[in-house]
Amino acid sequence: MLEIKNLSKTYGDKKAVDDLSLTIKDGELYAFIGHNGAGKTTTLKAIAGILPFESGEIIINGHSIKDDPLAAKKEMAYIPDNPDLYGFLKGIEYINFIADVYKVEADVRKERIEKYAKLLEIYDDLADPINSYSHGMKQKIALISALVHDPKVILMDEPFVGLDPKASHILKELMRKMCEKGATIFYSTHVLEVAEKLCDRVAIIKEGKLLKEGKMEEVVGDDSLEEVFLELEGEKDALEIN
Amino acid sequence: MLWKLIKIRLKSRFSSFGTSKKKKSSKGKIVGMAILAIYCLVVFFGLFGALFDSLALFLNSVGLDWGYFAIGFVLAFVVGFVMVVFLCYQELYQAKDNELLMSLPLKPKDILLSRIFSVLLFCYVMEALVLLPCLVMYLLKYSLPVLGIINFIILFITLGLLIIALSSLVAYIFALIIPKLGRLKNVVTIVLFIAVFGLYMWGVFALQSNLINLLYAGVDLISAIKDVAPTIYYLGLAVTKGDMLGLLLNLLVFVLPFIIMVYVLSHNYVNLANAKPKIKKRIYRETKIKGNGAMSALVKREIKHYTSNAMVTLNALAGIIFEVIVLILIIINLDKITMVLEIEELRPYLLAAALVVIIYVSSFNIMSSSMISIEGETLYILKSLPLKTKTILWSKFLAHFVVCTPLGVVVAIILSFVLKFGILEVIALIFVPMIFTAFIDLLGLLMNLLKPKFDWINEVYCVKQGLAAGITIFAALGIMFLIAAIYIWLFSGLDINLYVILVSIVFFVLDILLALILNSWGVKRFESF
Repeated sequence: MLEIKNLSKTYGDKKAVDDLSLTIKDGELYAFIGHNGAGKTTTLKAIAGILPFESGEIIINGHSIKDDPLAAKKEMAYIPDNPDLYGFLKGIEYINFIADVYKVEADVRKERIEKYAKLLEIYDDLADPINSYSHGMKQKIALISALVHDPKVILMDEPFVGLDPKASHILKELMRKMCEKGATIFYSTHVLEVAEKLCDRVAIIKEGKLLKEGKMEEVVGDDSLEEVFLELEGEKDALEIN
Repeated sequence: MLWKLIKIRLKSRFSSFGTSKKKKSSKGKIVGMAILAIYCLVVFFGLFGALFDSLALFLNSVGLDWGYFAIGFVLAFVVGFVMVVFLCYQELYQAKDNELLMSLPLKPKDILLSRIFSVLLFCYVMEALVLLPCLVMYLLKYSLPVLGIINFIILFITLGLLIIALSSLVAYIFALIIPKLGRLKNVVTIVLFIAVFGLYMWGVFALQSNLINLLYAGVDLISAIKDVAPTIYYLGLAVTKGDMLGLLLNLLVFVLPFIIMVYVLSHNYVNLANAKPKIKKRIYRETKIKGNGAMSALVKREIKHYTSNAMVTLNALAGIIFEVIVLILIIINLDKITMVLEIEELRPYLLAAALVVIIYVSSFNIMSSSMISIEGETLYILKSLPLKTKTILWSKFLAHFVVCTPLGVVVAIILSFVLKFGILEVIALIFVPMIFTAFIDLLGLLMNLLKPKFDWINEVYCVKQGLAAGITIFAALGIMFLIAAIYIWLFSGLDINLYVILVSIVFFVLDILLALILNSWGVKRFESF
């Protein structure tokens, strides 16, 4: 379970996240949507322990990221929007590095690497240096390294960017299955159609503030998520193209 | 557009001296930079000044003043070329923003020239290290016509163009060959560098140790230059006599290759800069996976990073290469070392001398001073993993120590054997440099924590030109001189070996202090990034 309580984060004078509170329960697939610069990545990085924040609290499976960051981080995995990985390592070396840090047993990691790498069709390329990979391939390696330690909470920033259609489909299936097994997934996206079909709940933010949050069907109602989003952002009329 | 590109390049280059977030440079920073610059100037002035002092006296006495400046310019050319050629390759063909710039509506010639300008500035600094002492040492004894001094300045400026033209040509050949080498490219680059640098070192040593003999034998040779390479003769005349024909002839020699180089390269630049290494695809075959502890995994990752790019290795671990050269020199000069052993008066100083050699050489290992900056855009990985900040920082310390210590121990054992040291001396020769290595390691890491730069364009710059790297290397060398000076001025009556023990204790205490700072301030600082 992931709890965000009154989270605020400022960059200089600009409030990137403003008093944000959300609770994402075990087994929930939760979409986090908003404009560019709305504060999605800042929120995700604060949860991942990458960015310090001024006020509020973030609890991951009972562990505060502020007070007990190690225990909190052990429970989760973070996949960034731009997979800048260690280009000097081979794909397999990078995954093994992450598995070493999370102390994943050799036989368990072997089984997981094989399973996910074959599923994402990157198994044959694991011996190549990450520098030689395409954006999509790096994204797949980031994904495998996130899943290799079987996290309970998964944070994803725009996970579908750069993936080919087949890999996108597989990822959606994987996300669903992981949630069925009890994992919590909190991810930001601009692909509203996918979020609408895939997610249990959704939160919409604008300029760091929560505009709306709730079960997908309650938020969307009879409209589409795109329509709701544009209406909440006050841009539905402005976007009409002549 | 060219000027805008140059401005961006210069901004990127100079912002490497710090975090680039603060607009105003603090007074302390400016004073620090000034002290560093003066220190560099004094060291290099001393090095080349002594050489030119003897040269000026001798060549003036035999009426070959033109030969003095000819030698000065040839030496500046060699130093400039050796120092610039690998930088040229990195800057022209390996920059991270090549693809971005080429996707914009910019002429390849403008991109090329903006990059060349950046290298040219560095080249002028290298030239100045030789030609400034050359001019000053001459003017302290003799005089030059005003036109001669003006010609000297013009030739100084245009010599840079010739150096860049030839360096670019060699870099062009590298860019053609290296992508074809695939996985061997790092090894080949390092071997190539050692060969070029070794040749240069051999030349400088030969010149310095046999200068007068060489000159007596070489008076005829210098005179013969008139016939064999008249442009060099006229270059000398352009400076000593203000000869305009000499100036024009050399301008042609210096500038024409540059113009041709720019023309040729700008027509091939896009293809060359985009050439990808031809790595033969390897199909992954499952191997036995062996788990490591977090610390071990972190240390291995650091070592892999610093050995994956030849230029990064060469810049961060130059001390290891110098240690190899020291080993070769010991073997070559075994007979001379044996002769020294027979001089009884020198015997008490041998341990201190051996320590100075090992510590001096290893102070060029500045790996830890860029270990924070080199994380660059991937810093988020470490910060998102369940790792204590202390573990991350100490893994960096350990990686530096593990890489830099073993060869020093080998040199120490061989030197001990050659110098016929007793067991206590052997122990001192192995462990005292370790104390110093730990000091440089910690100092570099703390300096980089103080002055990190994560938005670098090329990781070689991050290793080579960060403020932390500069401070660390010059602090190490400065401390060496300080230790020697303190002994000579204050403790010359004291037993040298006792002094070595005292200095070692001081550095051991400093190591502990720096370690405490790393564990307190260092941890907080890293967590603030």
